[in-house]
Amino acid sequence: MQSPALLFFRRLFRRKLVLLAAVILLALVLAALLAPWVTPFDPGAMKLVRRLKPPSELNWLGTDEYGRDVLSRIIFGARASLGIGAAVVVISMTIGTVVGLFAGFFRRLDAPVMRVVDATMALPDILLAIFLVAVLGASAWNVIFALSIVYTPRVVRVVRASTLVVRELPFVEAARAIGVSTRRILGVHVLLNVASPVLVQATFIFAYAVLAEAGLSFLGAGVPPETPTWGTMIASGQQYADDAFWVVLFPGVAIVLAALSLQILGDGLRDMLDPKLRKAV
Amino acid sequence: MSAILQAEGLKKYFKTGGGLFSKPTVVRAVDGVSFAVQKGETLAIVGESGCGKSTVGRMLMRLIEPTAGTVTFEGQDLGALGETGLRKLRGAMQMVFQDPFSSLNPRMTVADIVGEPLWLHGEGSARERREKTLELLRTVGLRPDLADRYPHEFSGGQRQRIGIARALASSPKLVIGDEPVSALDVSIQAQVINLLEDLKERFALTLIIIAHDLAVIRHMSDRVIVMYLGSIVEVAPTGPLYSEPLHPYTRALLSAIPLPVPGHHAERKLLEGDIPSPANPPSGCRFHTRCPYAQKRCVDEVPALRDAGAGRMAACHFFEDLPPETAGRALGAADSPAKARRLALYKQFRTLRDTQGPEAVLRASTPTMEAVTRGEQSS
Repeated sequence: MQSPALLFFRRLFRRKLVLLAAVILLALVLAALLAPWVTPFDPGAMKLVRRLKPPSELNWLGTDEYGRDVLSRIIFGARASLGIGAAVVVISMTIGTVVGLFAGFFRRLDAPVMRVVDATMALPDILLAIFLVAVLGASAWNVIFALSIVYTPRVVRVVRASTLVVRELPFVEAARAIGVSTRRILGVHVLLNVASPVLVQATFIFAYAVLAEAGLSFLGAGVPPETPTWGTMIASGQQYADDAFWVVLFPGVAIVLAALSLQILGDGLRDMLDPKLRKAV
Repeated sequence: MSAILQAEGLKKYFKTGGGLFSKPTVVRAVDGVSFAVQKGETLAIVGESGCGKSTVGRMLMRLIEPTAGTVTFEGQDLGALGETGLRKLRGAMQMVFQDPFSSLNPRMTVADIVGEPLWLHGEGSARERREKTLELLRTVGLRPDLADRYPHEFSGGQRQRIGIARALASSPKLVIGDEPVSALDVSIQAQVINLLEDLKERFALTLIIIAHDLAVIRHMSDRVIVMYLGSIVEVAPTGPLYSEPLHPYTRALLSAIPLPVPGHHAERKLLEGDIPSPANPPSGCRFHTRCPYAQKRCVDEVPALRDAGAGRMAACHFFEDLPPETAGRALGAADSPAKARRLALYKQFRTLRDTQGPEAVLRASTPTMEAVTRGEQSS
């Protein structure tokens, strides 16, 4: 008899690509968490004599226009980028799951909630986010807030759709028959059964949020430029890209790696959870 | 005996369709059903699919609100109870569901499923509840060491046992089985029926069994209610219902049971046509479109459920005048001497097996067999 956790990971990593994605992601997260200890240089330390130097033994990924170490900035940038992504996931998942459960379970709430969700989703994601940040002012918190507003409706949709299916299953009626309160039916019986599509959705939203944060920062509607994030690095480095490709290439690679491995992990999760879900329903 | 549960004039109308400009169609799933359940009896509710029997079961549990009518459980009107009061009462009334696959939460372990009612009714400490859960699993014939598995690791019959254990957890007085065996293999059906009967004895339960299978019902129930298109057509104790069905619909249902009698070729009164839609039920007697004895009066006038003596009731204008029934009676007819001997032998084996174990049967089989064969040849 294997432990469920072991079985879970064995199934998840049956595809080597998913394993690779998980390893990359883990490396990025660890680097972000341990940034002050693993970076070779202070990300803010300017050395004008060493500006726009190509990758070398000293600066592995070269230096930017102020002579700052690109590798150190990417690692510190991971803190902001992944941090903002994680915060957006937590906020939009929490709110989206609660709202989605209610909308799917209580039919009276369904129509009004879903119309609001449809209206939000009708606006292009990045435009809505730019608008919100422009109104609120550029800061990391406002970026998190804006992106949460953009992605919550997606979660609501997924959760509501799953809830609509689950609420009609006989075990919900059985729970009511033994005297379970509506709150517990929603919070335990239904939630347990909508959890897997929500989990998959979470990885996708994480990837979108990392991308969107980079996009917003690049457009100047995100985090202030003095904070290193992958988006701000590309934004400030773009004018030197002709002479010093490393200034924009490596932050770009970081974005691609993070977004891609999150997507692959999400795909892997979905592949693993789906047949079980089908069997369960 | 006193009534533990009473249903008065239960109705459930569902509205379907109906847009901006069209009127919704009213489906009369249950249309005025009244009956009482005596303490300690097994009452069966039978009928074709769509006759409203499951809806009645759910209204008894108040899982769905009746459009009209009342349900009284031990003198308490369920309709008058609020959400909290109803939840408290749920412990005393439990339900076993039809589909053992979807009536258990696939993401909860068996111990969680069976233990949930105990937790809800705040019984004992976590350890005591765990003990009781394992005890319940033993009671329904499941190995307690499987308690931490998930439902998908069990077979249909085992899952239904889990469902029964869950129903028993809150020490109910009344258990409603909504087609508790119809989703199971025939061989498993017998096991689950026997289990339900044993548990009924052991815990002094009152059972309401909803089913569409008259053969299953016959073995377990004391009284039978036959429903057709949302109303009761006949109520009778099980014996008389099977030997002398009063209502033409009951007769048709009974003649559809294959009889395990060699050489028996009964004329089957198969019903013709489909069951009419409850959205647009026939006028008068709802059965008149398919009744072989239908007359003018049946089209115009709704027959009342009339007392037919000896605890029997039927909703037919003419049940006194119908030709005597034969098909259903064949099962109740006296057995031939040879058959009686064989049955006696079977009984003997059963007792032997139950008291001394299967080996005793093997040891005993040969001489007894010979004795019977001799007896049969001499007669």
